[in-house]
Amino acid sequence: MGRHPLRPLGPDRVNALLWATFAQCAVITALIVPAHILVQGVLAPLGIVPAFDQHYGSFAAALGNPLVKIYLIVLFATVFYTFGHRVRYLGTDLVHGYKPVFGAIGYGLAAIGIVAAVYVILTLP
Amino acid sequence: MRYVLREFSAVPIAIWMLWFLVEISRLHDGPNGYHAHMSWAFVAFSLVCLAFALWHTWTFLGFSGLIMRIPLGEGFVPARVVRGGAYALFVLVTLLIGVLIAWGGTR
Amino acid sequence: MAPSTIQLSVTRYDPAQDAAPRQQTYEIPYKDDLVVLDALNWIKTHLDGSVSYRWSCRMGICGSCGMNVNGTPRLGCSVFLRDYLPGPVVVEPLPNFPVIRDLVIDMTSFMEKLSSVKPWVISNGQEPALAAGEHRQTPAQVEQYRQFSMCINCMLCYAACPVIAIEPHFVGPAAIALARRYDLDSRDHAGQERLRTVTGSDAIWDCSFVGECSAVCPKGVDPAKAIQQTKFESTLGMLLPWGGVSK
Repeated sequence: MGRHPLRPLGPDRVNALLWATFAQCAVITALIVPAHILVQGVLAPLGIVPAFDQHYGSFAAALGNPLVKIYLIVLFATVFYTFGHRVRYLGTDLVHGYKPVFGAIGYGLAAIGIVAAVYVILTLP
Repeated sequence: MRYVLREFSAVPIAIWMLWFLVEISRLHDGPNGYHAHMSWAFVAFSLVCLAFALWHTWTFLGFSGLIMRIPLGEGFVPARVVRGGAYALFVLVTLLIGVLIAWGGTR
Repeated sequence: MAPSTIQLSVTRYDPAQDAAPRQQTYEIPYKDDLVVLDALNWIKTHLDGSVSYRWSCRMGICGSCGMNVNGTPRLGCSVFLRDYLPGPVVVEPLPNFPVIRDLVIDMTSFMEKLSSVKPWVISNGQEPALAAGEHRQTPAQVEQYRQFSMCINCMLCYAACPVIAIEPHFVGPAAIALARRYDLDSRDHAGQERLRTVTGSDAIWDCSFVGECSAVCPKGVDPAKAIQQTKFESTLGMLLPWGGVSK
C-alpha cells in the first residue's frame, strides 16, 4: 500500500515540534547529565571530590539560589522529556504497534516527572 | 541491538535523575533528616547509569555531524569537524558543571 | 577444504495452489566464486524450472534481485555462497512486501510511495534558453546530492525497516532519500512541493532512526542520514522564520 489516502499531507507541525523538542532535550541531556552522575554519583561518594549535595548546608544554600532552581527544573524537564519520547518510539518498535498507547505512556510519565520536579524544587523551605 | 541500547539509555538516565529528585525532596526533612547517598551499591548503580549516559552522549552528539550541514564557502563543514566540535563542547561543559557541582557550593 | 555441494533452502509459494509459503531444499555444485543468483539460475536450469525470481544485470546496478538471504535483505548477485558455508543458505522473498510467487514480491506500494515524492527535476520555468548552453553545476553542487542519487530502487531498505512492518503506509527510506536528492539539486525548484509529502503523516516523523536501511543499502546511499537531515532542516524551516538551509 502507498501513502494512506486519508492522511493529510504535511507539514505535520505537531510531530515536528515533538521531534524538535526531543532533539534539543537529548542534546542538553547528553552534554550535562554525565557530569552530575560522575561527580554526585561516583566521585563524591568515593571521597575523591566534594559535591554540593554531600551536606545539608551546601545543598540547601545552592537550591536556595533561583538560578540553580531554574537550571535544575530545566535539567529534569529535558531528561524526562527525552525519556518519554524514546519510550514512545522504542515501545512501538519492540511491540510492533500501539504507537498512541506508548505515546500516552511515554509523554504521560514525562509530564508527571516534570510536574513532580517543579513541585519539589519550588516548594523547598 | 545498538538501536535498542541507544534508545534504552534514556531509562537509566531518568531513573538516576529520579533518585536526584528524591534527594532534593529530602531537604524538606531539615539538617537532621538529610543525608547523601554514600554506599557502594549507590556507586555501582551510578556507574551503570553513567555508562548509559555516556553511550547516549557518544551516539547523540555523534549524529551532529550526520544531521547538521553548516555552510562553508561552496560546501559544508566536514562532518567529522562538526562531530569533533560537539565532543569538545561536551568535555568543556562536563569540566564546567563538574567544577561547579564539586566546588561551587558554600557550606 | 571447500565442499563439493551446498544446500539452498528456497521459499516456494504459488498462491493459486499453496495455502502458505514453504521452504524447498536444493543441493547444487559448489564453487568459491558463486553468488546466490548463480545458485538460483543453476537450480532453475538443472533442477526446477518453476522457481521464480527477478534478476537482470548480475552486477549490482539494476536492483532487481533483492531477496532475504539468511534473514538479511541482500542483492542475490552480490552475495557469495562462500560467506554462508557450510550452509544451508536460506533464501526468502523480501519481507514487508506481499509475495506474488516464490521470491517475486509485489512492489506496487513502493512504486506509489516513490512517485509520491516526484523523483525528477522540476523546473521553475526560468532556465536559460537551450541556445544559451547546458545547465551547469559545479562539482560542489553535485557533491551535495551525489550520495543520495546512487539509489538503485532495490527496496532492501524497505525490507529491513522495522517501521514499515508496523506502519505499512510509511513513505520509507528510499523515497525520502530520493526526495532529498532532488531537493538538494540546484536545478530543482520543487522543494516545498516535496516537503508536503515527506513532512506529512506516514513520512519522516515515523522514522525512529533504527538505521537498518543504511546498514543493508548496497550502494552506500545512507537513507537514514537523508531522513534525519530532512527532519532537522524541515523543522528549522517550520519553526524559525529564517530557518532552513539553502542549496
